[in-house]
This record gives sequence, C-alpha cells and structure tokens, in this order.
Amino acid sequence: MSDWLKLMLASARNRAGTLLLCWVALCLASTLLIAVERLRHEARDSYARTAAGIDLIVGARGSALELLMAGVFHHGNVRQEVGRAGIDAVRTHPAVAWVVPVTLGDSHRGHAVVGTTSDYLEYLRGGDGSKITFAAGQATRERFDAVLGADTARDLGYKIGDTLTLAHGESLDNEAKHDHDHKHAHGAGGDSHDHNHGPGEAAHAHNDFRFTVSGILAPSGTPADRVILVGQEALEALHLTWSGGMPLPGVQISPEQLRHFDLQARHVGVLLVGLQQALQSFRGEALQAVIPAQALDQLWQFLDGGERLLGLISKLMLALALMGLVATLLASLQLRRRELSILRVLGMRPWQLMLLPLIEGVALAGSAALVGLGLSLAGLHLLTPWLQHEFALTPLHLLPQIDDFIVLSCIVGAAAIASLLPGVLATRRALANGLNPKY
Amino acid sequence: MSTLAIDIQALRFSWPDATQLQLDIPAWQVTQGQRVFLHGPSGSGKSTLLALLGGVNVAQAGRCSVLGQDLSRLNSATRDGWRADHVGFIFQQFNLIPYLSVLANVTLPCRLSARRRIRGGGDVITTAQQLLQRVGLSETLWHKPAMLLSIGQQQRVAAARALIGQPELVIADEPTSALDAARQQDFLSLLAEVCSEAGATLVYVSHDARLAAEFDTVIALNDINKAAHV
Repeated sequence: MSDWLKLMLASARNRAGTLLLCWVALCLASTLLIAVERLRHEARDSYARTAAGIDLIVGARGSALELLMAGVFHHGNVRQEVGRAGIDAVRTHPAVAWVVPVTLGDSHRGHAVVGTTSDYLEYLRGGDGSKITFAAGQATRERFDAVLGADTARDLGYKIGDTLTLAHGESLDNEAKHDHDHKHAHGAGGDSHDHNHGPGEAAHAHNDFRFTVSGILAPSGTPADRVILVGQEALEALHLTWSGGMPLPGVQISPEQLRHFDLQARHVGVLLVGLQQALQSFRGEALQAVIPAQALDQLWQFLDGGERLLGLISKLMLALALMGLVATLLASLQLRRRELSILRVLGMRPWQLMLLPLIEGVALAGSAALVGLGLSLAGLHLLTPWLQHEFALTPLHLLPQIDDFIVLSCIVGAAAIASLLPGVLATRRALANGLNPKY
Repeated sequence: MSTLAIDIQALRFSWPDATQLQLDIPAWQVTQGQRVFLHGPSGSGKSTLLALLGGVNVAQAGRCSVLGQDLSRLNSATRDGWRADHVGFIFQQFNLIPYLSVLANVTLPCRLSARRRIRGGGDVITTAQQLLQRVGLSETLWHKPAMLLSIGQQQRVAAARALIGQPELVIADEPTSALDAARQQDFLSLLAEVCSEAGATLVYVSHDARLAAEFDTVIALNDINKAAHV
C-alpha cells in the first residue's frame, strides 16, 4: 500500500500549485464555518450563564424581553417600575431567598448606571460561575460612592477617588467627553479628578450630587463589566427634586438636607430574584415574573433570523470552497487523464482509480478542517477580551468540543462526496477512452 | 508450442454510441510465441481490437479467448486483474507517467500485479534495471522523471515496462509512429528480439505495412474484419 501512497504523493507533488491554492481556500472556509458555529454556541452559553444564577426576573407588566435586557444585561430600560408594595411583597415572600434590585435610567458618558444594593455583588455570578471581585477599592460605603465595572474604568480612565456626576438618560455621551478631556488637562493640584457635565447639559444632568469612585471590579465577563453600580438610595436622592422625568425648577436639596428624606427606594426597575422554592401565586400589584431561560429563548427566537443568515453565509463559503476543490480536482483530472488511462490499462481497478481523487480530496479537506479548527480556536482565544467588551460574551470552551468535530466531519464528508464526482468521471472517461491514452 | 494465444470466433463489437459494427471477425487465431504484424488504415478498428484483446472492452457477441481465457466471461474487475497479470502494453505515445522516474514507471506493472512481481524474479528494481539495460537506455536517465526523456527514449522505457514480469502477451499500438524512420526500424527490431527472448506473443499494430519485415505473421485487419467500413 505504501507504493500507492508514494504514487499519490508524487502525483500530488506534480500538481502542488493548484492543490495548495485549493487547500488554502478550504482552510479559510473551514475556519470561518467552525468559528461561526462556535460563536453561536458560545454566545448562547455565555448569555445563558449570565442569567444562570437568577431564578426570576420580576418587573411591572410589560415585555419579558425588556425585563430580561434591562435586568440581566442592563441594556435599555423598563417602561414602568415596580412600586414599594410590589418590592416588599416580593422581598418578604417566603419563597424568595434573595432579591437584587436593578434600576436603570441614568448614565455617565455612555455607561449605564445601575442602582442596586450590595446584594448585586453578593448574588450575581461572573461568566465562569464565580463571584465578581474587586480589582481595586471596595464596595460602596458612603451614599454617593460608585463602583465601576472593569471596562467602564478602562474606557473612561478613572481611578479610585475620582468623582463623577450622572446624566439623566443615555444620550449625553459625546458632549461629556469634551468636558472630561478639558478637566483632565487642567487637573492641577488635587489628586482627584472631577468628571461632570458641562453647563450645556444642565437641564438633564444631576449636577447637584457628585459620586466618588470607591471600587473597580475585576473583569467578570458579565454585563457588570460595562456599567456603574451605585446604591439605590443615591439614585433616589438624585431624583428627589425631579418629577415626571424633568427637574423641578428652583428646587435644590443640599447633601446635608438629605437626612430629612426617606431615601428607601420607592420604585425599582427590575427585581432579580433567587428563589427558595417555587414562588406561589401572588395577588397584589400587577407584576410579571420572567424566567430568564424562557426569556432567553424568546431572545434567540427574535435573533434567529440574523443568526441563521450568518450560519448560511459561512455554509455558502464552505460550499464555494468545496466547489473550488471539485474544480481543482476536475482540472487536475484533465491533467491526470493520461496518468489515469495508463494506470487503468496497466490493470488498476476502477474503484482504485476512484480512490485516488477521493483520498486526495479527503486528505486535503481533513487537514484543512483541522487547521481551520486550530485557527478558529486560536482566534477565539485572542478575541476573548474583545468579545467580552463588545458583546459581554465570555467564551468558555477554548478546547475542541464535540460540536466542532461534527462540523469538522461535515466538512470532510462534503469533500468526500465532492471528490467522488471526479473519481466517477475519471473511471468513465478511462473506460470510454478504451486503450489509448489521449493527450 | 502450438497452444493458441488468441482465439477469436464470430466476434462482433460496436462502440456504445455507434450505429454500425466496428468489428465483425468470423475467426482469427494466433499461436503462442508468434510475432504478429497487424496493419490497416486509420479507423479500421485496430485499437478497438487491441482493447478487446486486453480485456478493456468486451465484445457484444462471439468468443474472444486470450491465453486460454474467454474474456467475455469475466467480469470487469477480474479482467482488470487478468490484464495486469498477463498483458504488456506499448502505445503510440504517452506511455509513461510523466512525473515518475524511469525506474518507477518500469516497475509499475509489478506494483499492480503480484503475478508479475513474482515472475519478474527476485528484486523488482534489479529486474527493471536489467530490462532498461537490454533496451539500451543509458543508466544516467534511470532516476530522471519520464517527462525529461526524448520520445525515442520514452518508447524504450515503455518496452521495458511492457516486458517486466514476463507477460505472455505484448500489445503494441503503433509504438514507432512518433519516431523517425531510422529509429523506427531499430525500435521494432529491439522489440521483436526482446519478445522472442521472453517467449511472449507480440501483436504489433501499425498502419505502415513497410515495417512488417521482422514478423512471423502479417495480417491486414480488413482481411479478417467483415464489418463494413467507409
């Protein structure tokens, strides 16, 4: 059999140029296909993990997806908040083990501000299932302390002790940047920097209260990386002088006056709930509970089209590369016509003749698929920080998975079928040629 | 030595898409060890007859017995094996696999047939070298890729390959048509000689009847083939 191997290798070496090109195309296509399949799975996994520790998401009646996006991913906001009665009812319910409130609506330079309690860091888990830890500093101790997510701190360049003010809504990003740079350039004397908004935004800014960065979180692969965590009492204080989404004109409260107010949260956007056991039916305020896994399913259904399109594109790429393989094999068949005729006349069986391009195609595609697997895993590894930052996605599986081998064997299987075609043609042609090798 | 190498009775053959018969041979025999010169104009069915003798194609009717084996009774895979075991071929041109070395080309039949490997005796490479020496191919060329050789040299290599492992039948299909006149005669003599030495039956096909001098039997295909030809 080693004779055949030698013959095949010699034949392949004779056509090295075309085969190499075809192999490179196959490598790229299988890299793409494996990477896309990989990302789809990792995205599902990662998002499912983010929501994993949370049993229920409770909020005012509305869209389940909205609750999920706001509560778990801190993206967007809810249209209606949960009132005190609802909060208490959930909190005191015997089935509830813990409650993490999440209130959105404010931002600082493009980063969402999450009003919550210390339970946030106590009960929510990082992408790998571990607790979210601090890279620097500590949890909020003063009322107007803020904890920055890892990416937030990196993006904004903030350190412990820096101060910042919040803006109402999410849209003040660009103007704020100018202000920030300006302040930095003139930050003489003091060891802390002020990060507040310029006078142009005064109408929508919370300039009366200033937050101090007390802690910066370590990267966790969760949405916490990209937000600013503050106490919900602090948010309550900010909005004391507000009504209906606008500041009340002429009303100002100094930090000293705050103690006269009850700052316990009167409204909360979303409650993330850990259950002790199945939550019994609750009759009171109209609430909606969302089971995260279910809402994620809804999300995937919603994203399915785009996701499928991506999958389709990568499969088309592979199909193109396989067509390239067939074309190469067919073209080489033209080159090999003489060779195959000679082998046929010398007594080589038709199935042996079919085996030559088949083995060649499978070897090419197999090695290309392995290289593709390696490249896509290496790419995933290298891109992990970026994926975490851009998509709050933490790929966990950096080693080949069973799914990868399924994709891999699909590639090889398709290549085998594709290279049978030249094999069949080779046999037919060799027979039709009769004895004479044509040139 | 009067066993028949070739025994054809009432053979009829037409190519799958053809409307008329290509071959219609009532009877034709060749004794073993004979050197047969078969000539006829282009398109008269010479190559077709060789394809039948080699078991590449099978006649639709009649008997085509080669070396005592009725080829139409064998299935296609068995015919391939039989061909590898018993028949050496030399073509007009393009005999060799261009990227393989001369030696690798010559030993190819022994790789496809255990019988020829054994009949080649001992070491296949040594046998191949002896044959190459016998056909007068300079030793400096033995390890070169076949494509670097001249046509004349390639035909000598083809002759060596056809003879390795002592096949009983050697089929040559106009092997000299690409050579100039002087070399044609040289090659023909050489081929006739080595076939005699090996005791192989030689069927030599050409459209050029002038080359027939060296042969025991000279036959015009149109004399044995009754199929109508334009």
